[in-house]
This record gives sequence, C-alpha cells and structure tokens, in this order.
Amino acid sequence: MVTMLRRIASSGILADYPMLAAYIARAEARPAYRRAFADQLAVFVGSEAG
Amino acid sequence: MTITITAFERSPDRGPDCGQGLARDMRMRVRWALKEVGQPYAVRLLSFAAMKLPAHPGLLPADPDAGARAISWMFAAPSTVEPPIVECEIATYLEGDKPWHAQRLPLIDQRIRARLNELAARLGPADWLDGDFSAGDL
Repeated sequence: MVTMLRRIASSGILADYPMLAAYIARAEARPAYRRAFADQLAVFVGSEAG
Repeated sequence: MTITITAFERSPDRGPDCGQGLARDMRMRVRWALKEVGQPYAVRLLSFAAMKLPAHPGLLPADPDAGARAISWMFAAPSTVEPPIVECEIATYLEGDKPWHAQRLPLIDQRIRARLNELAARLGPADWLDGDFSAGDL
C-alpha cells in the first residue's frame, strides 16, 4: 500500500490526510525500507555516473 | 544470467485441451518469446502444494484468516488505490496540453480522494493496515 501512496506524495493531496502521511513516514522509517531505498538509489546513481 | 521460468509441475491444462499450452501460468507465452529470440532458459516446476506454502513467512501472519487479509491488501492496493493515482499521472504527462485538462483533473482528484477517504477510515489511528506490519503494507 505504501508504495502506491508514495506516488502522490509530491502532489500535496496528502496534506489533507495526515494519518496517511504518517503511515507513509512510519513505513519509510523502517530499516528494511531504508536499506532497499539505498540499494535502488545506488543503481540509479551508478547509471547516472556511467 | 540464465533466465528461469516458473511453470506448473502438473498443468491444469487437461481434458480436451490437454497439452495444448493453454494453462494460464504464462509459461507458453514466455517460452515462445524466448524461443523466438533463441534464448536458452531453465525451468522451475512448481506444485500447487508448494504454491500454498508461505513464501515469506515474516510478512504474512501465521493465522490463516489474517494471512488471507494481508494478501487481500496486496491486491487491493494496486487494484483500487493505485489506478486513480496512475490516471492522474497519465493525465499530467500526456494530456496537459489538452483544453479539457483543467476540467478533467478535479474529477481524477475526486476519485483519488474517494480511495484515500476509505483507506484513512480503515487505518484509523493504527500503525499498519491490519495488526503488525505485513506484505499488504509494502
């Protein structure tokens, strides 16, 4: 669910849904999420550099 | 890297259609595509019993009912919450120059909010959708 909701994070719509914004933040704070995010970011940064 | 496809160990593709490659595990289409391009592949055969085993026990509750609910959330997210979100992205990327774009956006916004209202009502003050963090929250 969180990965779907993150797609509208930049739209501002979640300002009307503080509980859902907090839900996303809780998920993003999970160590596994942060490690997974770092892994995909490393691939992105690597591809940009190459 | 060798491509590995997964197929039913015993295909449900029986009866009059036996062996006609109509089973909906997609193996025939994938096999076909790989043969078209001359790409070798390995096959992992899967039994129905194996498919019913929890693949990621840490993310699905052990209780069968709770496990079924977590799986339901896995499907509810991309089939109910996500479609209007994707629709909004498509409208923004592909229809931004259309004269009716400004009229269309609020309609999509309404559909997104309808889902968010339902989701917020369900979540309430809870941390996760259904008890502990599960595959449905991903």
